[in-house]
Amino acid sequence: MKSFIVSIALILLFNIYTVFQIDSDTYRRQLERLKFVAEECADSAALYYDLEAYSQGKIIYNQDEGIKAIEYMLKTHLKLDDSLKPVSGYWQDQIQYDVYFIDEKNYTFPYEFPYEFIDARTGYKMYIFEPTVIVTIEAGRGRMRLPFLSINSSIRSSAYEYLN
Amino acid sequence: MKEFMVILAAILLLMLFATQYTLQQVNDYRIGQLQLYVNVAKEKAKISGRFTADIVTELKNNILSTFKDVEEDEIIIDVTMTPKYRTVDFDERELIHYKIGVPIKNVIAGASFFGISDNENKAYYILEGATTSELIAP
Repeated sequence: MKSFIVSIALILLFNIYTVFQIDSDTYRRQLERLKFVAEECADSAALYYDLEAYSQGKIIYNQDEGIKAIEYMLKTHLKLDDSLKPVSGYWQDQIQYDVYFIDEKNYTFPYEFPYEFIDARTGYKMYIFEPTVIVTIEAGRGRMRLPFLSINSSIRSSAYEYLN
Repeated sequence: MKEFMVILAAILLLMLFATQYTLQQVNDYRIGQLQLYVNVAKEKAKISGRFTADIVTELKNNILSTFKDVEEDEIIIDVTMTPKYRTVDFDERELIHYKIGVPIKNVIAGASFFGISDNENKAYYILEGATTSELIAP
């Protein structure tokens, strides 16, 4: 009887471990993908800038077009509806994002800089040397099946710098 | 004797978990590599304005070098191969789209022990998305 109970306990333990392994691997991969999506958003948004300002040697991002590109990329890659709620795919909470356009509308490069940027959502700090677009995505909870394990916040951020 | 039988049965079952652990490690590594390969191909396509034949061939070769049990015709590659150009305003028509899928042939270890066929023990891992083009219009 003792061997039977020990065997059942071991099988249960191994089962829990297998579920944990699969869930954590999937979560890590999805975080990596979220990072690629953040890169794509920042990269795409940085493509649109004011041509008139550019002709005068200044980079001023076209924020309206940049935001359109970011939202399209988020919806396509993360399978979201128009209000950025997941329709299918891995994530289950409403996706939130922050975008920072740091350009020559308000700052002069390179003399006033380096400027220390602090992400409001993550507290992450970075120095800005050139016009930059930063996108931070908050995807919410990861899918964890074990009741004693939960991840409530999944954040990835990416910056795209315009190098002269 | 009864104790011995119980221990033997338990060891057999626990062996399945050990093989599942290894299989999961392998599948996770392969899928991780696939994500990297697709991201690299997408970045190259962004600069070229489309998925060129060279980019697709390189992507296929990378996938085949990692997924040794997959044949070339089993890989799904549905990508934009016509040139797309950089635009002043955001335009969905000038985006490069891609859909890459690879079969994962062993999802559960010891599938035959549980009566799962090879076909049922297979799943496609598909990566789908779009990217803006950086190619300047002629």
